[in-house]
Amino acid sequence: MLEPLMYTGGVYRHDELMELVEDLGGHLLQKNVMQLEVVLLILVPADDISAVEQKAAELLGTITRAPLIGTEIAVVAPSLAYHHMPHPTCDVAEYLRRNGAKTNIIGLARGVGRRAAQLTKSERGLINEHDLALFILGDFLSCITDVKYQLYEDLDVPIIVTGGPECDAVPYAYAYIGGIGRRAKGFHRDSEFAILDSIVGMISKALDERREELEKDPLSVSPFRLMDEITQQIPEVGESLSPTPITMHLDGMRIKLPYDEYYEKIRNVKFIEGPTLSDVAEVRPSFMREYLILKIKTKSVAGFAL
Amino acid sequence: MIDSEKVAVESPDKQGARLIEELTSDILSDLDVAQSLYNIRIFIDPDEPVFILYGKLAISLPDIKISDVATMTHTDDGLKLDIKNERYVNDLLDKLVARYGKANILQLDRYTVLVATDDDIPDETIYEPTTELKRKVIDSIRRVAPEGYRIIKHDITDDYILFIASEEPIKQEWINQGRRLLKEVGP
Repeated sequence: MLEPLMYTGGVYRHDELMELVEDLGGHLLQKNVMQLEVVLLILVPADDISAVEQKAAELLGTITRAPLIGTEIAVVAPSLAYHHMPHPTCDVAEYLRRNGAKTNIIGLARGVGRRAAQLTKSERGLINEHDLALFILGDFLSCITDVKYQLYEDLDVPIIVTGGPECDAVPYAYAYIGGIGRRAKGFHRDSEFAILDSIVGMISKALDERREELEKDPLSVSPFRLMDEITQQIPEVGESLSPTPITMHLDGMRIKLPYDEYYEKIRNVKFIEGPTLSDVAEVRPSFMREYLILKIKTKSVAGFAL
Repeated sequence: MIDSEKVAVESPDKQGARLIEELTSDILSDLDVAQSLYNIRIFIDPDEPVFILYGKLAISLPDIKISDVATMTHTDDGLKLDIKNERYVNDLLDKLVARYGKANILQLDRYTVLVATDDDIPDETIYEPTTELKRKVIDSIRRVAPEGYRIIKHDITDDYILFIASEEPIKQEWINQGRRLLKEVGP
């Protein structure tokens, strides 16, 4: 069992912590260097957390648990106009990032109002590439319960909806969290942070259920092992300027390389046991730029597990 | 009575009304118009759908004329303007360029402008605080109104603003309702 952790500390000697994680059989998912500070998103075997904590204390850094590490979450707003930005959309997305998630803010082309509210085909495809979608809706209950579900009723990923009014549940959504709605100010009070924490809690719960579902028919290869193989065999991944050249999903990943150029190379990534990547995963073009999406086949589909 | 803090919102959805009230106060104070718009009454019904806002406008500063900004003296090189208030220099230069053309204007330094003319410049208005206030008020109201309500009818005078927005073509009954608000609070 791998535990998702976030390390925050100085740049000096942080490579020692990265080496320790590797030695323990963990994975480094993201490294952000900001001047003299570094933030590492890591996965560490649950039994070895104390070793990592000890090392972090030695380097005068801090280790916090970040439950959303290894997931990509779509934060969907009806539009990118000032009615929804920067509060609450960006604030919520930022809070999810601080809990380890990779978030993408998506502003819909026709998300506003009642008459025209709908998703385009590319928006639907793009949102479905994520592990979960969080919809940021407005202040009126009748809009949220009677109309806006049209935006997410056809999506395949779990949906969590936030809005202004308090309400127990909304149709087609995994959960609804009130108390946000349209805001013209940031999140400052404890009660407001409690709402953000409840969003993180609800997302963790939905993703845990998805993980349990995946365990019933396990993936033919661990996504993190696949990530390491790709990084080693395709050096161009490391040269990408994106902060996360490989963005992890629960059952695959997004690789930020052009599809046409790298499709064959990625399919031919070899495992030491014999099979190639195309035996264990499906490679397809992403709706985001020209990127690639990998979906790992389950054991029952691939016929074996590595 | 000026009561800039108070925003009265009426809606069939009580929770929504409370949230819109909070949002309105935040936006108005954020955009610096809380002191300029008062006695605000909002009616919003997402089922209709309609958003009506009525608010009284505070009296703004008087118009700024050229004589408020600069003193004029005739010299051998042309008309010399000594700028007293640098804040409105851009507006003054825009006005001069429109009247005399760019080629006939020379700004010697921050506080001196020469105009190639022997006549006096008519003392025209170069900056209208009222127009600026109306622009800011309309901008903030558009931020309060739901984004999908793109069909807008508004009536703005020096004293009040009546703003009606909807997704559907504006109905006469909404306009009448707005007029009722206007009568209740007083123009």
